[in-house]
Amino acid sequence: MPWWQIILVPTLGGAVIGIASKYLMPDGRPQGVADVIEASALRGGHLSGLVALKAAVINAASIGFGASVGREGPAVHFGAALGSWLAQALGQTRSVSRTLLGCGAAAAVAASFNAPIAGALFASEVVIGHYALSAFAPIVIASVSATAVSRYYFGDYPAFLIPEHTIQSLWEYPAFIGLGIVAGFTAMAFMKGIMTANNLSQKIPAPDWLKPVMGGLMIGIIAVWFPHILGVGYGTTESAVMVACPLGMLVAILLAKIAATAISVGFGFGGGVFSPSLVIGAMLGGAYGTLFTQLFPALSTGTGAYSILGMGAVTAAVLGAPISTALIIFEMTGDYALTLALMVAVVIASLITREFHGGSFFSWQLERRGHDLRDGFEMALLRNIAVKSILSTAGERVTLGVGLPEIRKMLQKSEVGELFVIDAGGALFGTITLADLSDFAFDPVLDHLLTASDVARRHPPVLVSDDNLETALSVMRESGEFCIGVVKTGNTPTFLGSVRQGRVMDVYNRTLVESQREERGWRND
Amino acid sequence: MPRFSIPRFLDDFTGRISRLFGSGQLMLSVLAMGIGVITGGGVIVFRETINFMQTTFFGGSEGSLFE
Repeated sequence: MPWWQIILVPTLGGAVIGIASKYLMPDGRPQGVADVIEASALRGGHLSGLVALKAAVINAASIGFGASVGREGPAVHFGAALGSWLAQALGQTRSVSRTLLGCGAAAAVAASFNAPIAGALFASEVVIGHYALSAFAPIVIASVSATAVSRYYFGDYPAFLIPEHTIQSLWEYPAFIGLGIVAGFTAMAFMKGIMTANNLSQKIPAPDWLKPVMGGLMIGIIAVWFPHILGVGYGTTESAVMVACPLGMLVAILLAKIAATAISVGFGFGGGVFSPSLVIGAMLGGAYGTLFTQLFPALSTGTGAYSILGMGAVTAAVLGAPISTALIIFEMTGDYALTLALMVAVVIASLITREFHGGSFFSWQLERRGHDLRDGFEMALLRNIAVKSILSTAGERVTLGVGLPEIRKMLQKSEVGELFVIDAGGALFGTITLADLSDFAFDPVLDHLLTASDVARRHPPVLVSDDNLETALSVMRESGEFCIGVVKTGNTPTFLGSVRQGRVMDVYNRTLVESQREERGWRND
Repeated sequence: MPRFSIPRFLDDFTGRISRLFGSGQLMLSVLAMGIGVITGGGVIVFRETINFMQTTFFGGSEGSLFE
């Protein structure tokens, strides 16, 4: 194939993807697994079916034009949106909606990898966040059905037909641990590369639709020397697993694939990071295995085995899904003998990434949108409830000129023992509690001399209307106060009302109960 | 340890079956199967579309791209 064609296809393809994303997608970007997790955790399992169809077309076209991305993430998004659409069409509850969303995600992974067990566990581990039987049973059924359809069409073969390995010695386990450590840092470099490319593309002063064109041009240039990076990359992965690449080539493709995927995702092509992680892991494992085999030939299980372990370790760390990734690799290769070594490498890589990077690729994508799911779905729900939604606006405010007798009366009637002093412009001037009044509370001599402005405590702890309930709880804990004033976001701190600890805890308790109900399969109605 | 007995097994058998139907789990399972079948079909269409495009633009798909 001529070099100019290798450059031209992704570049022109970038224009098609850029324009399609601008006019077809709600926020001008292709969607993926992070949107599914966000819908599951924060939007009651609601995803738009129409948007998912458009996203599937854009994602398929991206890979077809040569973008270095995976096809599994888009499939997960499509399947999850189908489940969500069905739940919405049938008017189902949040719990059922999330379960059907998980069914779609499980079916997509199962059909993509011919891996029904991994599909079911991926949906439970990453999308739903629990393994309760009420959700797990339908997820398994969806996973098995999708696998049956996929096997009917493609046949029942593992993704990689490899010779079976036998672990040579227990002394090889330190090498597996070493591979897990290297894989963890490689996964971080991969994710950091995507972040850097994303930041770079946002700084370029050009219209958004033009950025995939720039990305396509760069991918094309890399592909002139390394055509292995084009598309999903299963062929490249297989060549590493089958020990068909020399050491130099493995390292070169590893670096080229990281760069190409970072550019593809960062510059706005659609697609996932599942298959690129497999390619990167296979190259890393192959290179590590080659070196280890040269150094300790009597101890090594073989370079191909290390490629498989590398695939699992890097992918698990990138996706933040150690259990399902270990199973995916097992089901893709059918190599049971390597499972123990695989689990060691996967767990070490995941721990390293979690410790040094803080989370998976999906959690990073969600953090960029202002969602932090690391403490579980319940805390994420609290973070997504703004204090303005539980604001109390009734009474308990005084103006600057109100005298002490009136303040005493109001404090006696106040439910929370606190008054908010408001200035002429409606801004929060300060607060008055009985503790603030201690010197003047029972001294009638001062009644006609002092007003609210004299006794108010200036600069009390406040919340702004866009703060969330987690912030509210944190402010209450640090200040030791049960009622905090809420002001409007902006330059002038216009007083809007107050938030009480009891109300926050009530919302928190309800969220916890709802979450437990869902996990244990209790009926909500 | 309680032993299996036919009368105990048949006790309120129809009630148990109707509760199973009424619990929504059965409907959920049927929906899940439908989602699985359609998603499985979607994955096939997705893969074939990508293969078709790569064959058109690059003269090959998947593994043959770099050979």
